[in-house]
Amino acid sequence: MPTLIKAFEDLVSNRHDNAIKWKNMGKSVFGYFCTYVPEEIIHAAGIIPVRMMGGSDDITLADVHLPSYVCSFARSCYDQGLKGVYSYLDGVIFPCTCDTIIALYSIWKADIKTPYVGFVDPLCAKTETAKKYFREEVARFKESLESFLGGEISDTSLQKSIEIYNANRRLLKEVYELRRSSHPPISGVEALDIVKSSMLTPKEEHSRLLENLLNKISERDDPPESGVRILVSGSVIYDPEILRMIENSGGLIVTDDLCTGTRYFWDLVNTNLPPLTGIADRYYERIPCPCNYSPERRLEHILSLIRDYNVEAVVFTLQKFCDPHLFDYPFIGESLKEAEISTLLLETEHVSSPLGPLKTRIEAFLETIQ
Amino acid sequence: MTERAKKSLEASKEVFKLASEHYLGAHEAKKQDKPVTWMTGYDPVELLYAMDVAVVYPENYSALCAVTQLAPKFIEKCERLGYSSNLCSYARNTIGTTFEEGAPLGGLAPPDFLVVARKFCKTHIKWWQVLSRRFNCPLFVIDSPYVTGGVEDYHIDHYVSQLEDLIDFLEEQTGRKLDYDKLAEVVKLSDRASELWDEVMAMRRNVPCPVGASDILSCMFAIVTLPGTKTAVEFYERLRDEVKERVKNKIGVVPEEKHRLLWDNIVLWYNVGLSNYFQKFGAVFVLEPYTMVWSGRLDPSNPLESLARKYLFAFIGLKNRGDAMVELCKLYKVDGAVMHSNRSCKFLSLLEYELKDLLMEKLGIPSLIIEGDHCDGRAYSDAQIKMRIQAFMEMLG
Repeated sequence: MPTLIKAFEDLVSNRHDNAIKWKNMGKSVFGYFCTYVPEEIIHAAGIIPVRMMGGSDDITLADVHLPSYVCSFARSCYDQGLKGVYSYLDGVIFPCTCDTIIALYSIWKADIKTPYVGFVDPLCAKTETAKKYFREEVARFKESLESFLGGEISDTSLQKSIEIYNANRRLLKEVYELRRSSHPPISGVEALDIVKSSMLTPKEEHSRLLENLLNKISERDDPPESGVRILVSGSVIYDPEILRMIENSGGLIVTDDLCTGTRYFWDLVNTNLPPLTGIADRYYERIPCPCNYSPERRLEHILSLIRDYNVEAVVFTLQKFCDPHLFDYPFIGESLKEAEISTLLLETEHVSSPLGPLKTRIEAFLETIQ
Repeated sequence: MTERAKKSLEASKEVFKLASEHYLGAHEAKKQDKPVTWMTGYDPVELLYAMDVAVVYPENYSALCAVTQLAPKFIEKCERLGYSSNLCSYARNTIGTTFEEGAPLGGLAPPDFLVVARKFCKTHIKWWQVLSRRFNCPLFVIDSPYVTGGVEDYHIDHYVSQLEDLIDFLEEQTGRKLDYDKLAEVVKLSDRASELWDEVMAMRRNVPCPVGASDILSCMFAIVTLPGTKTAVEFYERLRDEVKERVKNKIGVVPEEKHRLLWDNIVLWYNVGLSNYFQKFGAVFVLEPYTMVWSGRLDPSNPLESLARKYLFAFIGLKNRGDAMVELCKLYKVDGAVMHSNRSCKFLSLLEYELKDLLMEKLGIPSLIIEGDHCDGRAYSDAQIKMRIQAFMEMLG
């Protein structure tokens, strides 16, 4: 069983080596920031999309062009870019999400010579006008890729990519369903690797691994220990250390509201629509991240996860300087309190120290619930 | 520690009165059952004025709170409600004023509905969402496309469609129909204010520069909050005449103008007098790209499309901002730049290091980057900042 799970962890740790391997096999690789980039279109173009994740090493070069009050996730990604870690990328795509990522688009374009630097503009308004514009925006993104590649992205290949992506999302959801059990067979740390690896691996290959996992998971003889059932809410979690602290202190993460979690795969593309429309609408109507939309719908998502996964407490892991999440937090935190759910707010960095003061706070919090 | 800015103009003395009248006027409107809304300083307010809606500006109002040294109390109140101290201090201050007594001019008159454009920063959107919950009132969001290159027809079309949606929203909220003749008139007045504002800005190219940043930052009040009103036009006519007179008589801001500086970003409102310190070195701020974005011209015969063009003005992305800055530095004969790395405004601040390199590379102009905040002065260290300014000015020679 450990090897089954370890396969996902390895895909995360070896992400750069793997990408270089694909490159050597003649494939193109594109990096993308954030779950608002319509990956299906990149996939349909025959390109392997990989999520920008930053790195674990100290940020040493990024400070030249990014001030200290920028989140360490963005600083780490840019730092890795300056260090040449991402030199294998043929393209990198920035969505118009938060002020930092929008600025990073310009900075990346100026400082790191990735051949294609793209920008996709998801919207904030919830009107028919906005929906129509976003469909056009997605079509423009497709055209821009086509002119870069010098070839057409056909509806047939879009349809095929939609099927492949939907299949992977269904499998991820099946894995999450297992965690509704009173004895979940996988831990939160493991689930994080499973979702992250999906963002870093061709979906066909990842789905095969998920099928294999689902077939064999019932035989697992070393399931995680039971604990206080936790939902984690935040943005990108690159470093699993904080989740490990929770799970080593008497908690068990059973679900999440994360960019590297449910918000990535929860919604499917409607296959009854023309493919490009289906893709656009999926990203327009998905469970929103706080960058664009008001938190009411996200709160509903959190509350339904709390019900379905028997969640006992919510831990917010909010990156320092992450404005969109920090604006939503008082409302979501208050609403959960009203629903009598215990919450803990942890302000996090891209990489956490295992000996940090966070550990004491997590232990104290979990003790009050047990 | 903080000091008042030395000003050169008579017109600047009118601003506090204009601002007081504006904010108190909204309370008066409320009493008369006239609708009140809150907007940011770069939303198509002309439409609202054409519909006789009273509009107040949380950003501008927060600057006013900071100038009067009252902001910390409201900022702290907001933080006690669970908002991070790293969020925009304009937002923190405004949210605080809606919960705490003692806000200047009676606070902002409560809104009946809210309008915000996603134009420069995403912070506006998040902040207005908070306000919409706070006042339990509807929020209309304009998705202003992020134009990182040139403005294309599809950007204009989309903006115009949204203005049409906004008109529907306003008609529903106010129970009144938009009078297009009134809109044409408002648009004409707004255009005239921009024309006058441009004229004032252009006169700053003169040596010696007739008017510095402290006056401009006060006088921008009307172009931000009152475009489309007679008040703004008449005020800018007086301003223009006064500046013109100074140009004619070669009256500068400092007795002997040694350096012509660019100021980037919003100022430290709790210490606008920082510009006095530069004057000690014979330096005057002749240009702030940030005060120039309001100069969009409008066509009364084509109001919606011209409003779209005005508010889509390309100030986004390094290419647009960098090209504009380089051109402006040449026009205004700038020899040094001071950039405020403003913790509260990632939109304006994050490209400054790139802009600094660009000015050096293209024009050989050195820049000083000072870290601060536009409204939250609690961590401000006057001595430290002045030491850096002194070193920079000595280097400029």
